[in-house]
Amino acid sequence: MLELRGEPLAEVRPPVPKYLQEKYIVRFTDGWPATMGHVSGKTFEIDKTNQVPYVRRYILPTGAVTGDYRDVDLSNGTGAFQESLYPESNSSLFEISLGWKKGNYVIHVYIPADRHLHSLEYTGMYPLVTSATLRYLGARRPDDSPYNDHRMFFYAVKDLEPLILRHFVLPGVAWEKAIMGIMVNKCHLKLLTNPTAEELRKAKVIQYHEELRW
Amino acid sequence: MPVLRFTALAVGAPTVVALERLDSKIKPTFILVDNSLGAADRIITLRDSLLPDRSNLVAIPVLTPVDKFTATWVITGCASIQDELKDIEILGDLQCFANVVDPNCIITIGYDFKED
Repeated sequence: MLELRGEPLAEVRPPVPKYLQEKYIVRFTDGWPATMGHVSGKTFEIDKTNQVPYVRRYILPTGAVTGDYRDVDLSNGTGAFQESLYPESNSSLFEISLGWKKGNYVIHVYIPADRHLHSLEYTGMYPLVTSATLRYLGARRPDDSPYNDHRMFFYAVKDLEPLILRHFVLPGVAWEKAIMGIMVNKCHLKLLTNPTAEELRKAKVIQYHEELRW
Repeated sequence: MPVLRFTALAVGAPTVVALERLDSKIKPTFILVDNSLGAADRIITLRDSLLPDRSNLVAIPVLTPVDKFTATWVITGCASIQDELKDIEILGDLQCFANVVDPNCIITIGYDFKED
């Protein structure tokens, strides 16, 4: 459901498309809750795609002095921090890739709003922007997913909890402009009621975010 | 690379050299000031006029001027500056003003938009 793809160690020929394509197969694990029963445990073929690029920017003061930050909520709605990038249809999967222009800031990922995704196991080892050290724990730098080479991928379906990207400006500058490039790969899903073993083997497995925590 | 030529205006109504582009920062690449016919020495400033976004602590942000570069061009002088501008990034609008209005002080500014 959230992937940070590293820089490839080798080139593959012919090249593999970066985004889901028509005729690709995706399988949602059984870990998806009943509230998203339209996808939980099901396998789909993608029969249509449409790529929608978008850009957002956030000019923010350094958070080192005030502890200030900006939560960017990708879910739908009219809230001040909501970007409304989620699907509204049961038969849509939005593959959303994100990349940032260089700058003096980090990004923390939360889903749902109050739960960080990248923590360790020892007590207190979770991201915390108000801490001079823990603000770097689990933090993504713009270089991790560059604006012109998106490597952070996120898979959204209808009714998914809000994904929050907390933008925090590091010490050393008074102001920073975080520029986030977005590509929404809209995928129309066609249910495969009896997928073959071959289809299941080829399918891209999409996990629920709780499966990334243990 | 865009270039704008204009006469020196004062701080109260600065020249807007370039409006902000949401997908980019602005990089001034050179400033040429021709003060050879000016009435006196002129102090020229490049300003970053930025409107912050709403953040978790500030619900209603206000337009904020941040002066990024100031230099004096002596009377009868005509000179350009390039290297000293290479590390300047403008987050909002790029503005320029002089210490006083002077229609005989001619300013030319080049700028570009950062792609990475």
